[in-house]
Amino acid sequence: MRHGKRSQMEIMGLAIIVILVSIGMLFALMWMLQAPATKPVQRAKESVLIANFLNTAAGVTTECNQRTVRELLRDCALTGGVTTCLGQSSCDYVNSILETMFNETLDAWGYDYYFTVEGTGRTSAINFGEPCPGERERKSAPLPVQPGFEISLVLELCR
Amino acid sequence: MAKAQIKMFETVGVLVVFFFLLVVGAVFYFNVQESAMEKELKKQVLLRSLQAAQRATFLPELDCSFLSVTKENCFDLRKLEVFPDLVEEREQDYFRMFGYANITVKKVFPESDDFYLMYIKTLDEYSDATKSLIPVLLYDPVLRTYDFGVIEVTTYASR
Repeated sequence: MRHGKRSQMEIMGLAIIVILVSIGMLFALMWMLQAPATKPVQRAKESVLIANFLNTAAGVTTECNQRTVRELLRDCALTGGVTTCLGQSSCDYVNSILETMFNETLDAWGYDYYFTVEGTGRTSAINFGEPCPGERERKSAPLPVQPGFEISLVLELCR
Repeated sequence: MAKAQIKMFETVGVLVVFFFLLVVGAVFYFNVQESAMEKELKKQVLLRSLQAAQRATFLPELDCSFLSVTKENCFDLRKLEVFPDLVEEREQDYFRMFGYANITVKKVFPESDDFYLMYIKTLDEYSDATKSLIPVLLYDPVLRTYDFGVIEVTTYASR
């Protein structure tokens, strides 16, 4: 009877140790799987970055008759690039300008991104980067071309 | 060996295991706490960097205004050139706004090496530094053109 009670106590002790170790491991697992505290701020930072990028890029004045990128994109979407800029169609010209901007900024800073102009097939050649395979931060800037016709500059930053 | 001695060894063994687990748990707990504090510090520095960048982009001293209409996300280059003088004059006000930070503006498109120092207040010894990059339009009121610029804000933190 005394031996039985003693072994019961030992089993009880073992069970307590197992429970304590399990709780500890659970805490360790929770801590390891926890999202980094900086993630929401990092997201906000990326969101500001791409929103400002679209706004800034569209407003830049080019050497094509002092037209802005926004105006050249409108021309490209509407006419397919009838306006000639330094011997190139407006589509090719705006494409090369955007390429330089991306090279000097997002590429140089090591971001993976995908930029497209949606709304018409005429601007389909204007795209940079690769589509994001997973999570992304996406911003879209609508650009009215004429009543009932609107294109959108879409920029995705891959995570 | 006497039965009492065996029992004593058993008790000592249990105590050794118990204290070993306690020490392992404590070490893990303090590591987690330290890591959480470091993450929080990083988050705060990142947040401060983003806040400083946002504040800088909305400074009325640098805005591009036309007949009281302010263009968003734009710096007037002439105002930007004399901004360091203003900072020198009202150092305390800007320190309250930006704290320990370096704020510079770089012209990216058209490709150029133009560089503007806005605010320089570096911390000699720091534990962490975070950089925020935000694209902005740079307006030249003489040529009446908009260039693509990037505002770079580096904030510092000490423990």
